[in-house]
Amino acid sequence: MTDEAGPRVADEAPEHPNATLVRTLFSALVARDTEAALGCYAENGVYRVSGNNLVSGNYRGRAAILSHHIKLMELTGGTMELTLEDLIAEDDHAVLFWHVTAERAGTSQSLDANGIMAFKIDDQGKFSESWFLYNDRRAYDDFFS
Amino acid sequence: MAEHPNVTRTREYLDTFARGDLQGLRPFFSDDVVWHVAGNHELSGDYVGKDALIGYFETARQRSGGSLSLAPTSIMANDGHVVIMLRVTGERNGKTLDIEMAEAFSVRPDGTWSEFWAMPDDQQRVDEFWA
Repeated sequence: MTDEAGPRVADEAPEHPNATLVRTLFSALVARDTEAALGCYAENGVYRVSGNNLVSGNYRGRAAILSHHIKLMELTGGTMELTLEDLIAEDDHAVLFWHVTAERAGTSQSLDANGIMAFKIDDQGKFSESWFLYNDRRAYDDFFS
Repeated sequence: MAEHPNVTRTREYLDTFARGDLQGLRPFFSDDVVWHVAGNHELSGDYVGKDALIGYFETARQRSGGSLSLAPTSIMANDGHVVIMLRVTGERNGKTLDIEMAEAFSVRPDGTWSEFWAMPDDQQRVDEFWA
């Protein structure tokens, strides 16, 4: 069968802009480029981290989100390594699945766990809300205790 | 684009919950399901196995006088996970609950859900509601 339009290289739709937004955030987190990461959030965006530990809580606004990231870097001494496992995006929401490893600075404690971030995206294409959830809460609570 | 089967299944689950058919929820879960309820209230903790889980649903329904309502704003799924964003409302002893939650399920290859965890936008309000 011939296709007058020529061979189709790919049958996939272009990536959803919200998937691109999540990839931008993820790349910024991997590169420890906090400015680029914060730029993905609305001015008064919220970053919610579940659990009961040194980094859990609700962080509202870019300054608060920045303080969270600085705390994470301090506690892990820059050892945190993130791997993107999967990504789902639709018009107002997106989900990121990741794997994380880290060492706690100055200790022999290590973290090897999976995490999920769920996002709400506003009409400016920025994150207005994000929820950080994880499979093994106890591992995180112990690691960040 | 066709809906992912795990999204379809999640809609069926939410419909079953909305009908109040708690026993009808059993087929959605694996026998060894683990359900994590966050927070610092009487229902917080881990529920392991279908009996414990349905028991949790029954307790939550009784304590809220059947008023708990789950309204999804988004259901996203791949082969291994379902993530739901939803608004949860309820009334109890003159107290009202109106929160937004992010919930995640792990999906087994046979389609059953083996683990659940969730985070509300305002845990304190949830704690106060169940206190």
